[in-house]
Amino acid sequence: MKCSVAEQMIIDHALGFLEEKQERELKHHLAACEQCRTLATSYDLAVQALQTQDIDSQAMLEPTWKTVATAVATEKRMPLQAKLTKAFLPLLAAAAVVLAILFSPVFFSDNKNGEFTRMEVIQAYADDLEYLEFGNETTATTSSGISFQEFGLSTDDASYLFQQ
Amino acid sequence: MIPEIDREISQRFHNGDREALEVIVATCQGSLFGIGLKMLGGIHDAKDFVQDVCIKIYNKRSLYNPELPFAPWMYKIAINLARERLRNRKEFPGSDSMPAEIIEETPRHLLVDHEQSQAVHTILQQLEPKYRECLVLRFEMDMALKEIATTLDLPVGTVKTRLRRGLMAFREQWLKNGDPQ
Repeated sequence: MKCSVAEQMIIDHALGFLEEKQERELKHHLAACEQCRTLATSYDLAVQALQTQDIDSQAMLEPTWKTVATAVATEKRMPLQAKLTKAFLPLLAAAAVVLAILFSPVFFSDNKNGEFTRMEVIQAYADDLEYLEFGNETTATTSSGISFQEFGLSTDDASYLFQQ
Repeated sequence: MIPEIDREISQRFHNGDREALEVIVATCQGSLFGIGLKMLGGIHDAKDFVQDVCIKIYNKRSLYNPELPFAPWMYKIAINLARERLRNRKEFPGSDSMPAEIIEETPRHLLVDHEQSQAVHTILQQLEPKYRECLVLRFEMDMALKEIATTLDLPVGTVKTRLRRGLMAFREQWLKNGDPQ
């Protein structure tokens, strides 16, 4: 067995992944290779450290149940309020977004509230398309050699979208 | 080790029985504290973590299927909460050390153990959380590969890779820092 293969097996051994047969093969290799033995020892030490239980963790915990019981009791007294808040906050946020779109002066009003009216915005898009020569050729390619089909547009769609 | 919660307790918990919750808290708080300490790196954070997990599982009890084992469901919630805490944390953890009053009352050999466990926590905090959570579930909870995969909602292969990379990174840091023992 090559040391590079053994290295992988050493890690798997430390993680407890190896099957019996692989364990035997690794053991055989380690018996003959000092370098891999050192590596295996270092992995064993790392795993030992990770397995160390924290000292007296129960003692470090203050009476958890008292705090939990108080919190659970408080939660029980006002479940309706909590549920309503939980249900209505996302709805309110969604409604705010929808209203913002519906009443956006730029896109949906002909009154000159913002800097552009809807028509000006559409005209700006049309000018851009004209500048890019999308308005003139609708069947196969633009003069720049761009094929509409490359963008997933059928000839009919291209004709419809870019008609003068 | 994964604490055992029997079917009757988990069924009563699902029905909202607070005595069942008390049993669960008493049985699982130690292991949850271990996860909190290793994932978040501080005693106070870990204590808060235990309490918050216990409250959260109770609030989500209606989502638990009592036909299935209780522990994986609870640890999934615990790990998600730890992830959330880590995401929200702006400062690098590690300043939260053992309180002075506990040090005064702790025998010397336990303090040496504490030094080692502090070193382990420090190194774990330096690892990416995705590696850290796999290592904690494997070595703190002694979970098998499949159990880790179920808890983290990941394919077994991904868990295997993360465990390997995590252990390699941990060992490298452990050697650099010098084994405190």
